[in-house]
Amino acid sequence: MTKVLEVLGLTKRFGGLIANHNITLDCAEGEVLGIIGPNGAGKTTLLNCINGQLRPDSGQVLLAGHNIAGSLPHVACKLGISRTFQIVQVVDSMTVLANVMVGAFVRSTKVSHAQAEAEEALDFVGIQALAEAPVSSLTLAQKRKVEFARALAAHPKVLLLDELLAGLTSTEIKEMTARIDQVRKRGVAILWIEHVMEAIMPVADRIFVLCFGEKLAEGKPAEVAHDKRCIEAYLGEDTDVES
Amino acid sequence: MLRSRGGYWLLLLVALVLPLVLTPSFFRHIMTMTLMYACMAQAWNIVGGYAGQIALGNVVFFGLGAYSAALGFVKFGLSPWLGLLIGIVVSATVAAVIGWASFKTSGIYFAIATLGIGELARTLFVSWRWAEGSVGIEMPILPSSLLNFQFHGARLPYYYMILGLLVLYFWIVTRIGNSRFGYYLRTISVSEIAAEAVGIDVLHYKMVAFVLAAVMTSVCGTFYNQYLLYIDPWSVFPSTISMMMLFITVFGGVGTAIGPVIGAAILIPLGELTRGALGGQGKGIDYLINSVLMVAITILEPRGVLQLLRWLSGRKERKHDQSA
Repeated sequence: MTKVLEVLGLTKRFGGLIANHNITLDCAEGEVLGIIGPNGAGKTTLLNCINGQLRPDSGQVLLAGHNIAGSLPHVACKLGISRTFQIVQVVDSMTVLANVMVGAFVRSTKVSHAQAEAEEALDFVGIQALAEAPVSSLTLAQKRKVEFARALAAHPKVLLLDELLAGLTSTEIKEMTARIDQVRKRGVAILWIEHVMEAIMPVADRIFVLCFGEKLAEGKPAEVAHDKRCIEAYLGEDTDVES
Repeated sequence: MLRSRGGYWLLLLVALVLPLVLTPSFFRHIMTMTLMYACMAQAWNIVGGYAGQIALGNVVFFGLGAYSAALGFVKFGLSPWLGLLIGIVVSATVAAVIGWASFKTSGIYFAIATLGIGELARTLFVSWRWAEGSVGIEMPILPSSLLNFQFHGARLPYYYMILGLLVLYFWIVTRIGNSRFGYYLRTISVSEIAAEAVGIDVLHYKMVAFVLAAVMTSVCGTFYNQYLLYIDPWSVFPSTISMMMLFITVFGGVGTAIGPVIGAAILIPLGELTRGALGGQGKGIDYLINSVLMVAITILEPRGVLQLLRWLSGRKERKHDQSA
């Protein structure tokens, strides 16, 4: 499998705080790389550095071998990086369909084409019935689906998901996880930040654990789940987990 | 859809016939001003409504359009039509510079920056001796003709010219609303973070919107100069004109093509009639009435009179039924 996305020695500081320190990771076509870690570990900062929302202080972000570190987000998107946000960023005053069309416009200026792409994405995510509804009338879970569909409508090579399942019910989580798995099968490289362990562990090929801005562990989900350092990071040092 | 499109044609028919029915020149003047303000509000609507950038200095482009035609004719003997083109080029250039400098800020800071630039322009023209400073410029009277861009006696040609311009602007804004450009502007107006992430070059699209609005406003300025044949810095650079662009658009229905038309059709005649009725004693009363109406509409229905009309005609409920 070819590595679509590579991050090499990426560091991001906010004043004296080092949010990401010397992070190196990669993600191949059709691979799901799960990113987990306690709150404040620097997970969202890492995504922001990858899609250009933040400029990394040092290090490289390679998309299909080309360094795009420091490029603006709209450039990154045109090159094939789409994302969703931890705090959903949708346009309340527009319809669901219009929101998703905005995602498709990056590949075509034609309204009819964007509409067809958007309808397909809505169908895939399972909210085609809501196409004409204003986004302001939706629940949080539905808004997350709109954002997901919008990202998919751009036909990305790399998809960055930031806590896509936060606030969803267990049924909705199952649905969304199945969709993410399908997207992976299309050959999209997926970087997925998630706190819902039971959802991410079965789907992710590998898990990358961030803690205080540094890589704590990386490996298959089962390996990471039994890594002593990871358990400490989540549950605290002196917890006796063996008993 | 068919019903509303039919409504627009009916509106156009009324606009075509109205000056033939209401013949007194005072009424024709009010109608001409109404359409001119509708044009300017329509231009503002692109940057202030669709793109959500509260520009408060767009009177600059009105003034530049007026002065380009006036100075071009008086100083160089250029046709006002050439002045119109010069105004467009000058306004577009100035807008590009202002936009480049002030789009680095956003929200309230953008509003303040543009407001300051509007005031600056007037001060500059007051003290610019070559441009006749505070004395202003009087256009020499020429025979009535389209080529001279002057019409005397029956002032109907001015009315139909500005009506044609409004139809053009309405068409432009409708086209924008249904294009990628329009979708992009609406996204920018709500979330620049989302806009960037879906591949929108936010600065670029804001600039395009601002320059387009500037060009459209400049044409109105040239028209105003040819219509009154006398301008001075206070008549073409007042901040009140910038405010009226915003008032009319928000009052009628921001981010829609018909909103500015509705807003102008209510606010401008109301202002002119109260000013006319009260004469010298009523100075500022029209602004007072406008302000009260603005406050009322903001509380009642922030989406403007258009939304109230939709609400009254029951279209809102029907739409709910469909989606339910």
